[in-house]
Formats: sequence, structure tokens, C-alpha cells
Amino acid sequence: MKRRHAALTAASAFAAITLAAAVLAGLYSCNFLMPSANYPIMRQEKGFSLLRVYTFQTYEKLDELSFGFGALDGITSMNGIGSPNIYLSVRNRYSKEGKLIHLYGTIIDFLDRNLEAVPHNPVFLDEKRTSYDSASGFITTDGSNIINIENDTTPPYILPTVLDSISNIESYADIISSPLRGFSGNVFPGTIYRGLFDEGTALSVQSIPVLPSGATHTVIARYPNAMDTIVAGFTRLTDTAYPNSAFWNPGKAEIRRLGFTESGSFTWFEAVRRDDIADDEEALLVAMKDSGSALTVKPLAAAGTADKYVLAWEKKEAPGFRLAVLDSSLNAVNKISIYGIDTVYLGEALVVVEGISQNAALFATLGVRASGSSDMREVVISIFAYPTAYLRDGPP
Amino acid sequence: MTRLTLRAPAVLLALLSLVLLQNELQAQSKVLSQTESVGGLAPRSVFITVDSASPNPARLEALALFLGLELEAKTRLVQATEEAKADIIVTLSATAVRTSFDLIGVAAQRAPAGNAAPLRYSARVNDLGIDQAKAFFAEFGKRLDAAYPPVPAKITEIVTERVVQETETLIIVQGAWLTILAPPGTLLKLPAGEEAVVDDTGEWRRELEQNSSFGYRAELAGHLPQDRLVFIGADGVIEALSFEELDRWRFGLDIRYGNFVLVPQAEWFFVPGTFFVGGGIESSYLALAQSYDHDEEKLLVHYIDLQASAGAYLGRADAPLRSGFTLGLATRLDAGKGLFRFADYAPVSARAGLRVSWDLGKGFSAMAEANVRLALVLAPEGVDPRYILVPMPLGFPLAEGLFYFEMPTIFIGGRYGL
Repeated sequence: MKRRHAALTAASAFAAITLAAAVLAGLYSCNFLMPSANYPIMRQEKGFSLLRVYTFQTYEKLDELSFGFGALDGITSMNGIGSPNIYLSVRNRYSKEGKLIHLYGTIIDFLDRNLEAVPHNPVFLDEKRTSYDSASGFITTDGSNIINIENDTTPPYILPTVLDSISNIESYADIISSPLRGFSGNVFPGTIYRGLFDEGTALSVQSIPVLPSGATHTVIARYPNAMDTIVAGFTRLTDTAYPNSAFWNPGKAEIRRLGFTESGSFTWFEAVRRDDIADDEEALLVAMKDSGSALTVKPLAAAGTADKYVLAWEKKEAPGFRLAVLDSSLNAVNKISIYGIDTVYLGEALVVVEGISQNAALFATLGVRASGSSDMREVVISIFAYPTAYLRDGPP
Repeated sequence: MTRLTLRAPAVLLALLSLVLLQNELQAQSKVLSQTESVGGLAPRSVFITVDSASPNPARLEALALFLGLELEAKTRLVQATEEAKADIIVTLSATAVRTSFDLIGVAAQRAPAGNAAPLRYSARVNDLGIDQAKAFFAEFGKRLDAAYPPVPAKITEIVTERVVQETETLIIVQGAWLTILAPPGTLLKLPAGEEAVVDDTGEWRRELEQNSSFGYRAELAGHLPQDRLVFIGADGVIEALSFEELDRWRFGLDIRYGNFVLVPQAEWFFVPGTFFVGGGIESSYLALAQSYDHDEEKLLVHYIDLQASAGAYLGRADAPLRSGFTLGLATRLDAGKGLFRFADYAPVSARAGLRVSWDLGKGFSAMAEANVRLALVLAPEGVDPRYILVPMPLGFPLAEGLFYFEMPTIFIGGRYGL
């Protein structure tokens, strides 16, 4: 009798434990958190092709993660083999300077800005004035020189090379010593470099075939009273709103970025006024046709040149970014949306898209693979290509 | 022949005697008059029997004798000597429980009327002895007396011609009418599985035993069913049923996930109380605890899940606890600044759920549901669809990642009916 009772008790206990285990297993396999909408690589609109995905892990916090700048390597942009080499920077809300990254092939290198071996220590890199160089790397300015930036691989660091001093470039201006206000390079057929010179009341665009300059530059177009026309375009940071102020001078506005398109026959640049105290900035996009007709000013932020158009940010706020495809009169011929935590326009390059080697506008987008349960976070950089053939009418 | 002749007078005499005796007997049982009248209260008769399958039936037989004495002495019941003439049959039984016994008495009407349930009383006793069973007899007797009070009787007096005239009293239990007034079409579920439908007159009647109870269930489509128990008195009962309409609409909120996502819900019952279609909006915008990633102050991309479903509740519409199931389709949109489009994950999904609902009264109910989902995945070309989200819901990919089966989510909700 006692044995039977003990057997029954054991069986009951076993059944209870089995039931409890089943309940716990059932609960363990249930979803208790709401679905995530965090896509490390977001689906893009029709026409976009994913070229490459780079990831790196970090212990740094990822809030307000964003790109600083993005630039394409000159040589690999035109060789039509895979994704070109890319330079860009990534930063979070706590970092003053972005993490400088070189992406090539499947490799991701972090470049040191302050290496003792380099001539400019620490390297000053104007991330807002980058453009193509026909050689490896890209060009920008350190304030007094036009410099080429490329990586040196062992160990990875920024290797700046002075291409020409700004004063030398200005000495070969059509009107000698006109201040150089903007500069850009090109890897496509046509002019290698163009400069924007401040001639007092007029602005002129001049072609510079080679650096260092050794001959007088050729004037492509000259625009009388151009700066007055541009200044009249500011609506918020005006001379009336800031009487007797000259803090955004010289030249009534800062010329920040400049680019040009040979096939589109125009030069564009960003004219900016900034109130550092109020941390306010007003930017205008200016287009100057090579024909020399009147320039066009619109309150847009430029992204860069693509084919015969300039791309401008209509909306630059995560997760949906929108670009306008503008012609030489800054009329929008099309609009493109791209999605991510942040995105940067890298430039135009010859790449293989949909099995065809063709020119495409390249974008980098940011994503994260971070979870609250781990201190290790993963940053995902995706390179997307949008064929320039789709810029006007969209994909078929 | 001679023998016959000799014996013939005696045979004839015997036959004559038989005929006369027969005539005499007929004359004794001839009914002279028969009158009927309503008398006072008549006691119920009880026949006590013993369950022979019980342990020690001989001792039970002895106890049955004492129970009979108890009933005669202390109740209004009388003991019947024959089972066929008894109104109530009391069966005495016992079951052994370790070292003691459960003494059980069950009383049932011999010809049951209505749905009066048998009266059952049991008590634990140490032994099947008279002393030990005294308390049982007293309590059981009390209960029998209360359950089977004397009933009004119709007395039929039959006067028959007899050598000694005697009056025989027959007690016949009086009936009373139960009348149910209900909308035509009302289904009445009566005892013993019997069913009746109220016809176009809106009335249903049945004669039932007086001083008895009658239980039935009334159901009318689209209305809350009723379980009724009526006491049939001497004058009968008229039950006028009014039905409360079942909810056509139910509105409410679900609270889902550990993020406490509030999900507005609406349900329309096309078969009230049973089948419904509904819809809800589940969105991370409505999450009380939005983020589960400490790096994210707020989500860049929100999801909006538009859910349509159909389902059914099982069982009786008036049951306080009901189970049910739902099947549904959902479409998910991603939304954020500059982003509003079909989601990459689950732009279309099929859902299935099991739910349990508690009626809280006054139109309110609470529910819990477990739900699984089969989601379509639209991954960017070149991206493994199994990992397009971080984190992916618990589940597993199907068809090379084109679909994803989500393991159950369990959530709770409340509804208010209109």
C-alpha cells in the first residue's frame, strides 16, 4: 500500500515538473518585445543596387550616428571594377571629429589623423570641400593649400600631399591675385579642375588644367555683380537682420562646396552664411552656366554632381532622405529618396550595375546592429548605386 | 354413461354454486358512487431500500429499519410498505473510506416530475452502527422532510357494494400549469434533453407537479440565453421572458508586449455571441515603453500594423469564461520622417490566435490571446532576409527567408460591448 502511494506521489511530481517545464519552454519561445523596425540595411527605391556592405564593431554609443563626409577615390571611380575605394567619416553625438574610414574591396581601415610621420600634424582636413582627384585619393584643402588625401596602409593613416598652394593658384588667375573662393576636381572627360575666383563685384569660373598651376587659367564664364545677386538670396541671415555686422565676410558669404559638370555645362557651389552664436546657418545653392547667362540661386543644400545634374538635399533627416535632381537652371527634373540612419552622397563612378558597366551615383547609408543586451555594437555601412541613366526619368 | 348419470346432479350443483359465488363477488365490488374533491395536504410516502453493492449490506438493512422509524417519528413522511406505492424511494448505501465509512442516502421521486434533482446526503461515520448513524438519521430526515413536504391532494371517494361497505381513499398528486411567454422562435431546453420552440402565439405551457421546481434554458438568436428555475406553486406560474440583446459591437484595447503597446480594437459580431470580424491597429507609436535599445532615445522607424481578423467564440454565449480563435491578415507599414511605405518585414502577414475571454459584467470583458504570425519578408537584393531586422522576432524562416514564422505573442486586452 505504501509502495503504491509512493509511486503515485512520484508520478504526480514528475507530471507536475513536466507540465511546468512545458509551460516555461512555451513562454520562453514566445515574443515578449514588440517587433523591431530597426533595419541595418534598409530597402531602397527601385533603381538602387546594393554594391557592398561593410560592418565594424565598436563599444562606442551609436546615438545620433551620422556621416561626416564621403568621397570617392579618383582612380577606382573610373575603372569600372566593383565598388570604388571610398573615404568617409562616421561620428556619434559625443565625437567632435568623425572616425575616418577607408573602404576598399572588402576591407575597412580606420585612418589615423594625427600620425607623427605625416607632414601636417595634426592633419587638417576640410571635410566640406572635398572633390575628385584624377589620382588616387581625393582632394580638399588645408586652408592654404589644395591637398590630395589618400591612405597609407601600414599602418593605415591619412597621407596628405600638397598639390598646389592657393596663393600660387591665385597668382595665375585671369585677374591676377583674385581670391580663390572655391575649387573642385573632375575625373570625367573635360576640364580637370575648376576654380571660382572673387573679382570684387564679379565672380568668374576658370579652368585649371594641371596642378601646380603654371599658366594663366582660362575663364569659362564671368558673372558681374554675382555676389550681390547671391546675397540677395539670403532671407534669414540678412544684413538687415544683422546690421553693421561683417562676421560672415569676407565676400558677404562663404563659398563652401563647389562642383561642376562638363556634360551639363555648369558650375555649382554652396554659398553659406552662418551665425555661430545662434548656431544658425543659411545655405544657398548657386548654379552658373558655362554659357555665362544669369546665375540661379535657390535655398538648397548641395549633395554633389551626378552626370549633367547637381543633386541637392530636399530633406536630410533620418530615416527618409530626399534628393532633387537639378539641371543647370536648378529646376528639379526628378526626385530620389534614400533611407537609412544617415546617408551621404559619395559621387559618380563607373560601376557594374545589373550586369552592365555604367555610370552611377553612389550613396553610403548607415545602419546599426545594436541591442540593449550587449555592449558590443555593430555599424553597418551599405554602398548603393543609382545609375545616372535613371536620374532624369527614373528606372524603367 | 351410468357413471355420468349418477354424478350429473353433483356437477350441476357445483357449477351453480360457482355462478352464484361469482355473482356475489361481482355484487361486492360494484361501485355504487364515486365523488371527487380537493382535500388537504397529503403526506408523501417513502420506501427505504438498501444498495446491496455496499459493504456490509446486512448492517445497512438494520440501519434502514431505524431510518424508517426516524422518518415516521420526526417527519411528515410516512413509510410505504411496497416500492410501487411509494412516492419517494430512499436508497441507503455506504462506501468504505480507509477505517471509516461514508453513509449515503439518496432520495428520488419514484415518478419524477420536472427536473427535481435527487436529494443526496452523506456523512462520515466510524462504523455502521445505530449509535454512529443517529446524527445521520436526524439530518437526513430533516432534509427529506424539507424536500418532500405534504402536497395538496385530490381525494376520490369510491363507494362500492360490499358485504361491509368501506371507503377507499386514492391520493393523486395535483398538477399546476407553467406558462412561458417568450418571443416566437425561442428555444426552450427542458430537462432530460427535451427541447421545445415557442410558436407564433408566443406561449408555451406544460402541467407540472405542484410544489416542485422546474429548470429550463431559454435561447433566442441574437440574445443572451437564460437559465431559469421556477417554483411551481398551487396556482401555477406564468414566466414572461424578456431577452437582453447580445453585443453587436465590441471596442477595446489590447496591451501587447513588454513595451506595453496599446492596440485599439473593434469587433463586429455578425452572429451575435459567436462569429465576429474585427480590426486593430498595432503600432510602436502607441508603445508606452518605446525602446528596448539603450542607445536609441527614440525609434527612427516606427511600424504600423493594420490587422483584420475573423474569429469565433466557442461554447455558450452566457458562459463567464469563453474560449475562441481568430484568423487574420495584416499589413505593416514603416513610418518615420520622410518614410511611409510598406514595411520590409511583414508587409503582408497571416495571423492565427487562440483567446480566452472573461465576462466581467456590465458589458466589460477581459481577454488573453496567444497569436502566431506568418510574415512575408521583402529584403533588399543582396541582403539575407533572415536577418533584415535587429532583433528578429523569435521564430524561424521558411522558403529561404521569403517567409518568417513568428513564435507566439501573448497579450491581454479589454472589451466593452455596445
